[in-house]
Amino acid sequence: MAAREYRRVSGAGGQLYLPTRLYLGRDHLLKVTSVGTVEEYKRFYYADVQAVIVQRTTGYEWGLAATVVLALVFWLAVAGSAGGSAPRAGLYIFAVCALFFTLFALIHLMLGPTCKVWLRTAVHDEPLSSLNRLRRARKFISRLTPEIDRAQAGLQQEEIGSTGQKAHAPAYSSASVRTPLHETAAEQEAAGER
Amino acid sequence: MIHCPKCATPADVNLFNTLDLVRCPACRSRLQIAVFPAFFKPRTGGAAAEAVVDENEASCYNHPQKRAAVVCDSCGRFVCALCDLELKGQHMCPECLEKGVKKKKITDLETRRFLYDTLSLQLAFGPIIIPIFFFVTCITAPAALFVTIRYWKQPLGLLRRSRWRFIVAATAAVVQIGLWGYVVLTFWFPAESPVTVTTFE
Repeated sequence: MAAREYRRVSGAGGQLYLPTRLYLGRDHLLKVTSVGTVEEYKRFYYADVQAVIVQRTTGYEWGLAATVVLALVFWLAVAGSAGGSAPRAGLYIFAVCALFFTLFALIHLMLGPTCKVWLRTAVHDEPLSSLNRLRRARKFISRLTPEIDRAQAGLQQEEIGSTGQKAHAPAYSSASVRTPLHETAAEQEAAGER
Repeated sequence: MIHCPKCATPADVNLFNTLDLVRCPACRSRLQIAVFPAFFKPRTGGAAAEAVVDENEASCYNHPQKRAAVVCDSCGRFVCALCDLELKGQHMCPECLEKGVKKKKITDLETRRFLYDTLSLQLAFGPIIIPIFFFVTCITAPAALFVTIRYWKQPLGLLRRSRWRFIVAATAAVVQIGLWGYVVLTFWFPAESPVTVTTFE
């Protein structure tokens, strides 16, 4: 069945009115965008993927600052309402708001830094809006890399020498997935020596 | 060439495949760029159709001056290298490919699908969410049931595997129709008053 060919990579993300999801297929990455009762599909074949570009954004810091400030304001309001002769309804409303913003700030803190991600092919850069957290983006790269290795295995031989062009930097591969989550012991030792 | 998404400065190869985020030298935004072998592959042009040299040579169905390269696996027409569309090991002519996409027989090229099960679910539960619009359920409930029955056999989303949305929507629709039936019967056909016996003395 077609559905079992796909493995989900990321949860729904993107704009609220245009949630997108990513799935790994046998030979392509499937991006699904839901627009009401219509689903739109875009396929990116692993053999065509040239790069994944991740850009750290400042949304994390601003979001955290805003929610912390709002939480503090409401907690101060709670403290002010608790001692005085203000109506209890106001105290409860402030308390609910304070708890909401505190919880929001904690969740935001746990999810980690925000980012934007683009998938680059020969013809365009496709934004992957569901990968809006750095941790999620790196996990996506680590899951995508083995699929691309398999699809582009022949190209790794060609990249050096066959047409006289030499790659200036080693291509990304699962054998050398260089993210902090996948540092090998040897690399850590080398980093320590430096 | 890969450019910084913020300032469009071409990214130096030293920024490729780094351990952690690195700063763009121009705008200082933090980037991590994972580059794969396809990036270094030189771009090649598409296949060009060869001209027919001999009168006895088979020519393309769409381009009589071009030599036939393959046979369409769907309709058997001879097509040239330009008209040859290869999909998952099969060679197809443009007409068969277009027909396959229109009739939804080639799911690999499908770019959008209408989800009738989601529509049915929205019709069944949408008005309930806002109590003010509950009276609209007298229209949406039958509509939900109609959509469920009419489009039951339609292919679902590319990734969906079961029709539970149809079943839930149909169940909710039947319950709502039942409730409306009860309301109508109660108001239009009120229960008769019990028989009273009058005695004359």
